[in-house]
Amino acid sequence: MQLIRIKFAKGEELRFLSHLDLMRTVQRIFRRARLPLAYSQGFNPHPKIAYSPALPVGVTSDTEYLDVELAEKLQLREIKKKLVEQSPPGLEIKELVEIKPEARALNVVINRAEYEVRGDINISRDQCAACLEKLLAKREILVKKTTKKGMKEKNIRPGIFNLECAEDQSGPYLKMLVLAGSLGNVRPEQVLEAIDKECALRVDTPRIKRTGLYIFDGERYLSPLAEGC
Amino acid sequence: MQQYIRDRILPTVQKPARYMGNEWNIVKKSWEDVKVKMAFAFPDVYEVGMSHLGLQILYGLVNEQPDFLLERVFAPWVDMEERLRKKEIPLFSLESYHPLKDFHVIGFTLQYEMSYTNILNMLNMAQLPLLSEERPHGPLVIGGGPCAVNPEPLAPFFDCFLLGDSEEMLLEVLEVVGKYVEGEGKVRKEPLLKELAGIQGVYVPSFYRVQYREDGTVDNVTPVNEAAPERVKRRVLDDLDRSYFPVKPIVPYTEVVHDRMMLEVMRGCTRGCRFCQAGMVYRPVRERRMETLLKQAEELVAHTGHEEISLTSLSTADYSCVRPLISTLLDTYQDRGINVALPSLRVDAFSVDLAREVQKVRKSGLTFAPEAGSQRLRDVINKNVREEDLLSAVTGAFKAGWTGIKLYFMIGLPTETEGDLLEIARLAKEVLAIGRRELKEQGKKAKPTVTVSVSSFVPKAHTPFQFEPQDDRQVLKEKQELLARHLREKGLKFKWHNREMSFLEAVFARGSRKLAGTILAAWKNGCRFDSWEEHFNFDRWQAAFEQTGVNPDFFANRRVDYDEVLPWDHIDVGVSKRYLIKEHRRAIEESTTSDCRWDGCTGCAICQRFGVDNRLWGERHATD
Ligand code: SF4
Repeated sequence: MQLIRIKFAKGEELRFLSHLDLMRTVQRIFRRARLPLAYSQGFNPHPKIAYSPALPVGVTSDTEYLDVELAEKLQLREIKKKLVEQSPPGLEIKELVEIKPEARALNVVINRAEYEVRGDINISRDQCAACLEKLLAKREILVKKTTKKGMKEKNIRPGIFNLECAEDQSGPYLKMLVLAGSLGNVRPEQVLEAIDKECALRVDTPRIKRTGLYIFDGERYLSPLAEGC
Repeated sequence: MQQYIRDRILPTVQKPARYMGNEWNIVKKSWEDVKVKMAFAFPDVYEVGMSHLGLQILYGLVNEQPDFLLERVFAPWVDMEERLRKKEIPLFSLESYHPLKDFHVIGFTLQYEMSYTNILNMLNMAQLPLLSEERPHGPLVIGGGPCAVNPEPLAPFFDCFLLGDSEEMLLEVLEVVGKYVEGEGKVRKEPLLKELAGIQGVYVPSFYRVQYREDGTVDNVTPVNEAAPERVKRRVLDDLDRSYFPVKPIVPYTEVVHDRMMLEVMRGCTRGCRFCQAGMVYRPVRERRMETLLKQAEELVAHTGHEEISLTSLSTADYSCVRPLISTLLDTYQDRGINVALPSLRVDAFSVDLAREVQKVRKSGLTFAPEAGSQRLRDVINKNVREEDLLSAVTGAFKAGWTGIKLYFMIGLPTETEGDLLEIARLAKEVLAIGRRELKEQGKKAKPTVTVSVSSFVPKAHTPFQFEPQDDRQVLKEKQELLARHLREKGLKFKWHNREMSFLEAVFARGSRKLAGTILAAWKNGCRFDSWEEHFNFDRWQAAFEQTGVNPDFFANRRVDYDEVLPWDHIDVGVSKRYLIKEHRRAIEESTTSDCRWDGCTGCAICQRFGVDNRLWGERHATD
């Protein structure tokens, strides 16, 4: 038996996969690679694979994680090689570490997600900064949420920890750090919606990428690869 | 363009993964280096089309040839259609995002009549003229699949149809196309069609003139081009065991209807159900050897990573090596988390036994299709199932732990009486009673459920019932209501198929070229996705019949004389009309006909006429 945490990226080619599609894809990669997945007990056994908080459809990511249990112990190098061979373009296996059986689930320990939003921004960098400042000064930012019972309003302000206008060689972009995981999720589209409402700042055909998932312990931001080992 | 579609269009539509491409095992060939480019067009959504084995077979076969390529396109869902039309983006393929009009050949698969308006819609979205004569320089629009055995309602839209097993003939066709290609999307169509007409299995509708009598029936169908044969013979793959099989099928990301490996254990069925088109037009029975199947399974598992192997055919329990095949597959793959699935069960205890072996979890109910309620009517349709078979099958199923049973019946069958219908209700109640008794004996709290699912009989071309009328819609309504009244009991569920859809199916299944204008009018009226309840609109169809002056009842509800010239008589699927007439007479006499694969030739004549044979590898196994 062996428990492994894998960091992977979901690229442009796969950006329209839902979380369920991604789960199916990963299982098939493991089967093609003939890696000995461990199965749950019971009538309807399924492989023991658990994921970091689900990525919204249409969003790419540099930093996704999954924990998988294998029935046998194998060399990490060997596992990585096999997975890479069987992965479709757009799914990049980045790093593997072995974790302890007592490691807590990814969805429980991860509580922060970082996103970048790129695309044509309709206002200048200064106006952008002023807009975000104004927005963050509020105590309540309400966005509409469709639930099973109908439309509901949700305050996302407590789940926004950072929001800024940034720029690099490929141009200006928005950067945000928000709540993620089992305690709740703020989705980047919700933040964009709030910004638009606040000061008509719009990103034309936004390309959203998740650039980080962290474990924030009150002081430090830890990588899920460091935790659990 | 690809970037524009990905960035601007896909984020705004439902299920964008349908249009994404990039799946595992996709083949992307260099466009410039390939001589003949063909698009495989499936006139329904991605999830339906990707569940179709024929697509995977042809995709692999063609793409293995250095000079050809085959790319896929599906019917865009209505939201996608709206976006593409608004931006004037022509319909494109999933592999290279090339517009359809840049291909030399566009091949539509004709799986069901209710997809016809989607075909026109796709051609129109491809910015191509709909009529063959308006496309003198290509692309060549071809059709194949089950509905091609009577393609007459579609005749003016298509350049040619391929009749029979396409993997036998498609490469030959593309080879000939290669001689006449002229740049992107262009072929010298006239000489090309002439040469194609000489290939067995190719039907060029424009090479035939149809003359009608005053009463609307066909007087004669005459070849008007020296290249066209009197009758077009279907192409029959003789040896399935040695035929091409795709071991690297495309693995979809998004969930499709049949999301699993498909192992085709045999083709054809000779049980001889008299309503069944597949059972007539795919003769004879051609099995694959078990060793071949096991090898194919091994490769499929390695190349797909799927979690289920489905054993496909028209009636898998009839495959002569089904037992050892299933146990070997289970032994080999169960530990690797791979299941085996049997898509079709025969109505007998043997099948339940097989189902019990493969389905460890009794999740869904088991489905059986006795088709008719009374023994008399089952004899008429030659469904050789006795009531004891059904009762022992369901008893076995309840004993093995299933609590739900689904029963399929057809109403409106030839010679049907009210008594036959009441037998359906009686049988369903009997099955439910067995369920109650069995579950009680096992001390289970669960209550059994029996679902009765009823479709309406559709007379199909090339079957013994091609001479029979479909019941009037009002009569079908009364029959459905009668059943509904008699199936009211706790634990019984009653479902029925849309009568108006069945009516249109009947119109087109026995239709002539006179219906082409109606399909066009219906499409112009806004019909598409007609097989989807949420889009089906009968009023628009009725308007189309009126606009084109066509009486649909003539096709659906009329009894046809034995000596009448039928619109599809010039299409020779192998089974002789004499045999169909003989079988029809036997039906009226309530006598049954045995299965020729075990009990000797019954005279449909395909084997002698086409030089083929039933090919079985194992022994006959007991049916109970
Ligand atoms: S010719 Fe005879 S043996 Fe061959 S399929 Fe027809 S009935 Fe069966």
